[in-house]
Amino acid sequence: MAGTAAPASEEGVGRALAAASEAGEPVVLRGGGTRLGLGAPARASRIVDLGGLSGVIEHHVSDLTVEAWAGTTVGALNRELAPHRQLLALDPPLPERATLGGVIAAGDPGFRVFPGSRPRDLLLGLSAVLADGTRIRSGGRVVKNVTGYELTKLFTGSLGTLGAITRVTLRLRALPEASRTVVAGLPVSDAVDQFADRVLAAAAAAPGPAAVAVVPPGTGLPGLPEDGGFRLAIRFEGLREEAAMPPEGVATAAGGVTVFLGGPEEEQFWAGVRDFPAVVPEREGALGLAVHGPPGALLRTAWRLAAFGPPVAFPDQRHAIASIPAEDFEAALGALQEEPDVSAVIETAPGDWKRNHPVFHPPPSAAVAALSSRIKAALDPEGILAPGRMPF
Amino acid sequence: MEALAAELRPLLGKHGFLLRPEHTLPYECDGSTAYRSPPQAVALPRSTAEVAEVVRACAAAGVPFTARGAGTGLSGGATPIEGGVVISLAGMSRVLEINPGERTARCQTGVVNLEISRAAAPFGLFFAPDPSSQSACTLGGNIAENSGGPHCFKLGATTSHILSVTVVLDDGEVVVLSEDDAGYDLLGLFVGSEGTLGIATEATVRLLPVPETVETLLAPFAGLVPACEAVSRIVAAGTVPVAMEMLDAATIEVVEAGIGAGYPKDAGAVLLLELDGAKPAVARQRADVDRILQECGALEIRVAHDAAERELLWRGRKFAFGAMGRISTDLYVQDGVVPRSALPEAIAEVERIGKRHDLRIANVFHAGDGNLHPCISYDGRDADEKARVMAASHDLLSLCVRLGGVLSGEHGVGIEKRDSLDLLFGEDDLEAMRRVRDAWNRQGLLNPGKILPVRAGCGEPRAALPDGGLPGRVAAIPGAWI
Amino acid sequence: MTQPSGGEALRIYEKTLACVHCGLCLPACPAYENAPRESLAPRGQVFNARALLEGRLPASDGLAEDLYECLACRGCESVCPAGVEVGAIVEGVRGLLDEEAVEPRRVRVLKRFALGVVVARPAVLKAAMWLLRFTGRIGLRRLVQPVLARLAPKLAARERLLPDVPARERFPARISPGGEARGTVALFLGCVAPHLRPETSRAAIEALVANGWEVVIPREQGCCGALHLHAGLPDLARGLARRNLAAFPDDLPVVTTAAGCGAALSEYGELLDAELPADVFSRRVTDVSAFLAESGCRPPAAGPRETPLRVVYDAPCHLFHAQQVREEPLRILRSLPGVELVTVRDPERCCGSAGIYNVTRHDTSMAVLDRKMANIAPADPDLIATGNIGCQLQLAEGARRAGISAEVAHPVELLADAYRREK
Repeated sequence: MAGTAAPASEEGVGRALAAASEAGEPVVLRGGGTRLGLGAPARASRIVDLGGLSGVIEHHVSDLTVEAWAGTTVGALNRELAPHRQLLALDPPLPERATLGGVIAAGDPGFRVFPGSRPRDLLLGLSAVLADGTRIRSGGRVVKNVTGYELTKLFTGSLGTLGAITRVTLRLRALPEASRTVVAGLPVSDAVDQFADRVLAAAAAAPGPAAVAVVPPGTGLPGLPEDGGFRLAIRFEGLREEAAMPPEGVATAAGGVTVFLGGPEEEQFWAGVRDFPAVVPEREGALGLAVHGPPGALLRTAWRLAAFGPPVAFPDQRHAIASIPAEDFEAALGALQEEPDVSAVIETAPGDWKRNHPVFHPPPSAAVAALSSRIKAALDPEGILAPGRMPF
Repeated sequence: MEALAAELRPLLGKHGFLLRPEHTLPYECDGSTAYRSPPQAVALPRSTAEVAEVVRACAAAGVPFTARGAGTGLSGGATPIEGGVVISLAGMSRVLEINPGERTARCQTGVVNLEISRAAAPFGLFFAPDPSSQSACTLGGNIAENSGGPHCFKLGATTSHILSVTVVLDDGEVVVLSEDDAGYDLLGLFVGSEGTLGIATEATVRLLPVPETVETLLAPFAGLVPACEAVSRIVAAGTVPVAMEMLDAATIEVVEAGIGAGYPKDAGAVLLLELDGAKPAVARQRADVDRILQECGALEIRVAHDAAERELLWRGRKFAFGAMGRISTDLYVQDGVVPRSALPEAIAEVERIGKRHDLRIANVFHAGDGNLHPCISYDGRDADEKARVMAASHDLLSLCVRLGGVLSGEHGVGIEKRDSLDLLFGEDDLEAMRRVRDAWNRQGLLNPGKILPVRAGCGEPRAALPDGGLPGRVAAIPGAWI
Repeated sequence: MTQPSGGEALRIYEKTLACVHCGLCLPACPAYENAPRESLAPRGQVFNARALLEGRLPASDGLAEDLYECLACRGCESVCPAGVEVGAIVEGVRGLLDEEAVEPRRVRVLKRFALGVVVARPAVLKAAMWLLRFTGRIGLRRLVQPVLARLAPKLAARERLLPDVPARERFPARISPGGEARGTVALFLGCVAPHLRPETSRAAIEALVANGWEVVIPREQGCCGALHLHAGLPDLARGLARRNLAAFPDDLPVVTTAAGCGAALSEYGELLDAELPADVFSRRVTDVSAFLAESGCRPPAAGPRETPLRVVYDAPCHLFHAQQVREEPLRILRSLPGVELVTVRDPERCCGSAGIYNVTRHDTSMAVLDRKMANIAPADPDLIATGNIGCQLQLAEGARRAGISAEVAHPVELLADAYRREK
């Protein structure tokens, strides 16, 4: 039985899921629909759309926290926060559609440098509805919390398989006073090891960066001349003094042409970086890969994957996004396997591709799979929520 | 236990499996002496394989087991409340590898927290989580409790700094949980699970570069209220100090007697602040901070001029709990959190609670994130006083929840706050947590009796607390130490 | 649970109540570092002492075993924010256990003989030292050592700790400086130090005289009693204390050259519990480095050496922790021309000597020593300077074990040597 339910309240969500449970009908949850293809294909055709639960519940201005309905888009939230000179420092693809609940469930780490701008770092508390319609809460609204089990962490990246997130409490930060991005061209002649070492040295030379991205040619990102080499983009933001950081060390280490981006051009560039994972599915026949691993291995892998399609790497975040043609998958897998510490997930794929190929490389160990399976069964014993999406 | 000893002694060595009371009794409590329960045996494994073997043997024998690092915890997390075996990782204390290029360190979890930063220092790196007990506490304990410390205000608590952990599961199986893993964030769930989901034996941690400039400031105030006002305004100004700590007059008195950190004895409160970053940024932050401190009535602004002065200022803060040993035989350190904006009200209420129960409460807290540590001095041998301490503790926890906060910021729930969890969570919330826990802790042998209220058939607590429990809620175990 | 009703037991019990179990002492303890079980940590020792006195733990041989594993270095006391007197607690309980005859009989007999008969009686000690010197001089020691190493390796290891006993040096009763004296000080020699390392005493005299002090050496002095107190024989220690109190004039500063002695003498007030004017005496006791530094020590004007002497300073526990003399020896060493003072990690960590611990607990002592040498050896020193006879012997063995050729000497020896080279 296909179809979409679009509850307008938390109670409505509870009723929809309880009904699905009663009927034994699996569902998939939907926010803004920007990352619905993640994971393995779910064996469910019924949709519960959570976009109706939208709006700010309470903004604690002096505490820099906000509680909001999970169907609120990131863009809408930031527009509400802007007059208070605050922002939610999360950068999911397509923020005008991406909902808070969806961002948490997808777990995209974004590209801001540590400390803490990944969903897991900013999520303080949540309310969720379980498969049987029970509503639960976890966490709180304070930044330091070790009261009970961290179900907030468990839900982050859970791809809607554990419960429907209905409310979230998030940590905010002050809008930066100023911002500037340095783009250094990396020598085309660098071999794989040199490339990785050079990027790490240049990033280490940057005092307190806010974001570090390694961008290849062919991404179509605005603001960059296309002359065939990788580019290292480092954003400085915060106090005026922090944004004005002199980049000499970076330029020297990178060994290439330096360009500065500021104002709207800078915003466009980083918006392009942010939306890159969502752009990939629109490339015909392309697979979207998310690669994870320690910085050095990650960069070497990005260099190797460039032969197949453009990868954007975030060494500090230990992840990269690559777009490769589906027919090159086997060869790309070979490139991945050259680094034992690196793992990959096929995020997006054309048509039926995922039905015939495993999504997680390497697959989770037997012990981790068993444990994860037990956790899933603990919260969704009937297997109502997107069964099959996780590989266990 | 004899059978277990016979099985494990050949593996662990003569002093690796302790049974005699002079060896096991000292493990009856951790840093919180209000809760005591001796183990029947103590195992001292030296490797992940040995830990796994001990766990396997205990699980097969149906014997509960509790992991322990340095035993400095303040919520009874390492206290073996159902007896059984304490598995001490104190002997697994090495830094195995530092990778300066990746900015990571791989360590055994029995390593002392501060030792990680010492090993990383030659590479210009450090390990950020810095609980007060960092000179003695272990990484494993930090992982179990998601420990914080003054510098986690800006840099995040332990969970933000763990990249992977090697965990021995409830049946002795060994897994590695990594931040890079696809699937569920099992690592995120594990950090802060207080040793009830598995035993961490090794971890790879994130290291941060030592900042170019660090400025440590001490600002005395006439009282806590103007100091809190200063904290609010600093945060509102967009400046993010790397740490903001506050101590009240009662604490200053004890610190000066025991440590002599140079805190002004006539101040109503002191604010200990640290700024870090590149030089121009720190200069700018300093200008903002100085202005705000003065506007809020700071009596002076003292700056640490060198590493030795900085160390002394921090020593006063970090050794404050221990210094309270000078004024009483026992100390009860609370760990509530309130939203920062509610701090002034919280402080006033804490004072009222102290008066109501006729107790001496000294306050130390992480002003930046609203994490309070009211410290109650008492004599554990005085049953009446102890009951008043427990009552005050319950009032403090209720207060935190009422003001929009939570029960624990960094010490964990342990035994201490277990039966108060329902102040914050409903039955459905606790049930969900219970089910997730039971997916890991299938036989219920992994550090039982912690975090979640224990249920038995008719809803009465199955393992009652020693008389350190809440009035009217628990009964004393016969034979337990009082 | 009970509580002691009075006397020594109550005195010790009350000291244990200061501990709030914070655990900050654990990383400071060499015994815990060697074997990390809680009963060996300072916190655990205090816990067990309290449990014993409350009747929760029986006085067992296991308890005594762990109790004597403590090196009494008092490193924990330097770190403890609550001021728990761990040293006094451990020594106190040892005394109580001795009274209850908990240790094996042969141990008790041996320690009473070695400490009560040999060390405590200057005449007997002199004879024992003579025997050692003689057997060394005629080559008998060297002959016996390999045999001993094969037949009784444990005894051989301990025998190795004793150096060759040099020729007996007799010190005059009074040494005056040329010209007007600034004042007079009384020198405490110690029991074995003047026999095993007379150059330390000689150097102390020279350094004091060079700074204008008249030095008197009271004849009737004897062992300070530290070893006896550490061994759980407080009555013997009190006897020795009374003898020393009687031997020394009422009004002179008492200067010591051995940290262990200095600590013991400065705690006579506590030991004798206001029985005699022990308190007053205790306050007059100072280590030679502290005395010189505080009263003004003339920096030697000697010329530079051909090659600078690389010196590592090792802080004796009973100087650094027990007497809290920390900076003064360093100040003296820094004032010496031609000396390059090299810093190493954790110089205040115990070397493992701990009185006669290197005899009674040889294996742990050597493990602790090797950890110390791991910090010192990479600095490749020419000389290790330390202000205690026990530490000097221990570190000499440590240098041998670590395969480095460093000498070991008291800082005051370097000072006196510099004064000599002025001429």
